[in-house]
Amino acid sequence: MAKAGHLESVHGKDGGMNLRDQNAFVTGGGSGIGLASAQALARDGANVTLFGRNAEKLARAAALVAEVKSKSAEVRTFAGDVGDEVAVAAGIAEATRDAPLTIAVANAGAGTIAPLMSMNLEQWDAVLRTNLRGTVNTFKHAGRAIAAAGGGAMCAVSSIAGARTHRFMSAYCASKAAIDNLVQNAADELGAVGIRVNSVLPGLVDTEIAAGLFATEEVYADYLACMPLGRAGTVDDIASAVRFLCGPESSWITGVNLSVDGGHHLRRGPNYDVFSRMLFPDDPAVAGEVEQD
Amino acid sequence: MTRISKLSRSIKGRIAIITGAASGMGKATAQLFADEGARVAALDVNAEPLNAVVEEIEAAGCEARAWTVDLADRSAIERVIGEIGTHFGAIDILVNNAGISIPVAIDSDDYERAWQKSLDVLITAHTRTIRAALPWLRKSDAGRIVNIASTEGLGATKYGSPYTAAKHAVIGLTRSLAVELGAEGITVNCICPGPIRTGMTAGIPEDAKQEFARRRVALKRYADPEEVAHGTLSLALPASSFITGVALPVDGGLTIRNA
Repeated sequence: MAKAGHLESVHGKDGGMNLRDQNAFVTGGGSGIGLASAQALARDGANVTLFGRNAEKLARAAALVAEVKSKSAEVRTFAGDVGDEVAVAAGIAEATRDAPLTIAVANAGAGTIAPLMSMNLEQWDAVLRTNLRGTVNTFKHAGRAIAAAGGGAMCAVSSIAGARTHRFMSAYCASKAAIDNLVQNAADELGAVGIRVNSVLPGLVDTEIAAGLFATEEVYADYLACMPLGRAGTVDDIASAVRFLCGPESSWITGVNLSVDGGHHLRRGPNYDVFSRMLFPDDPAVAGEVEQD
Repeated sequence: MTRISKLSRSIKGRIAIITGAASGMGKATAQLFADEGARVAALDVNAEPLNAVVEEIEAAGCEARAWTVDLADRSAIERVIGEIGTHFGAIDILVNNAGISIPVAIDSDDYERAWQKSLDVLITAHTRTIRAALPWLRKSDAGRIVNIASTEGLGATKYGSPYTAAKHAVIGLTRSLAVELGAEGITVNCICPGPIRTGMTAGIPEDAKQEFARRRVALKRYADPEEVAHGTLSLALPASSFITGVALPVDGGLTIRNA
């Protein structure tokens, strides 16, 4: 059919532009949002390299990507720690063995719950290492590869925790806020070499890492009460936004921190008091917390 | 192939209203939505260019229909939205795109007129189209409202106070209605387009455009209207069911450097 629009574009089988000839690197690709993002990219034709610490988990994930991928797309895995720059560089080298890199998804993340006044700084360092250093490692090495390919897109998976407070999760929150700032700086710096850089900020999503939030009725109810759409997100909700920000449809979007959270960012952050009271009953800040409306 | 995911990235068969569809971003949005299989209700105050857009879409084998309407006229909005709902039997997507820009200094004798006209078209009309379309959007399984704000909704330029104030208001309206309509599953988002080649920027000389882009825009260029239309499309997809209350800059990185 003739196109009424001015820009010629190849469209996928279910709307959206085709990602054939695109080559993507996804950290934390073994499960959850990383896996769903890899599936969304491969379904539209992109080659995907899944990066993560656990080789067996990656192999299982690769099989799940292969089930939905378009015929021509290739799926690879590379086991490594995202906080280790050498490992990330090696993962990118594997991803670019046969084709230039055009897409990177910095998804790998870790969290911890700890009161500020009694925090073990090794926990802080561990969270920052995976979340922030991991994203920097990915942006640095994927950025080099994508710039060499003539341009492309990178997307970080941040969190509503980067935009709204989550008491007793300051390491996680600070790391995600730092990622969002890094995204803006990277976008401003790398625009000159044709790389767009954005982040998505998921709210509550049905993943392994959030299982405890779903299982605790008080916490789950509080989440729903603060979300205009009144439901939890799915990994597909987030992957759909990642797919958009990595594809040619978002050619004019860079430096954006996009909330994908059912509107939660319009309200306050979640109430984890039930956890903090259970885990840290003697912390003065926990004892001093009052009921919220 | 059997789909294993539930959310569609297609607007095929969806009924979409696009205001300001005769030129610029509205025209590109009408073209893109029609290309993607939507049934487009194209609205504009200028009948002749609007009819030309619709004819072009129909010539490409897609579906669109023109309604000439002045968005400063409340009763006309109600009548036209009602006609659209009756004609198509549904309304799934509302894109409030129509806009005007009247540069004016705060001490200008013309200020009152510029302020009133700007707010009528840029914000009051949005509430009216939304109110008129709401009964239909409520019946949709993926009701979507996308308001076109501007990077002026996030920052400011001198002599633009009616425009800037109205665009800030569009973001506020978007956020409030996201909270209000969320429980019904209707998402409400807005887009903040940055430097785009449209009628509104046609008067800026090419060398001035290039200098601005080089100094201020991360991607170092002006964009085509279709690039903004793709942002609008993404928020209108059934698959974008978990994004609401967002003000999405589609600006080549303009606002990260200097709002």
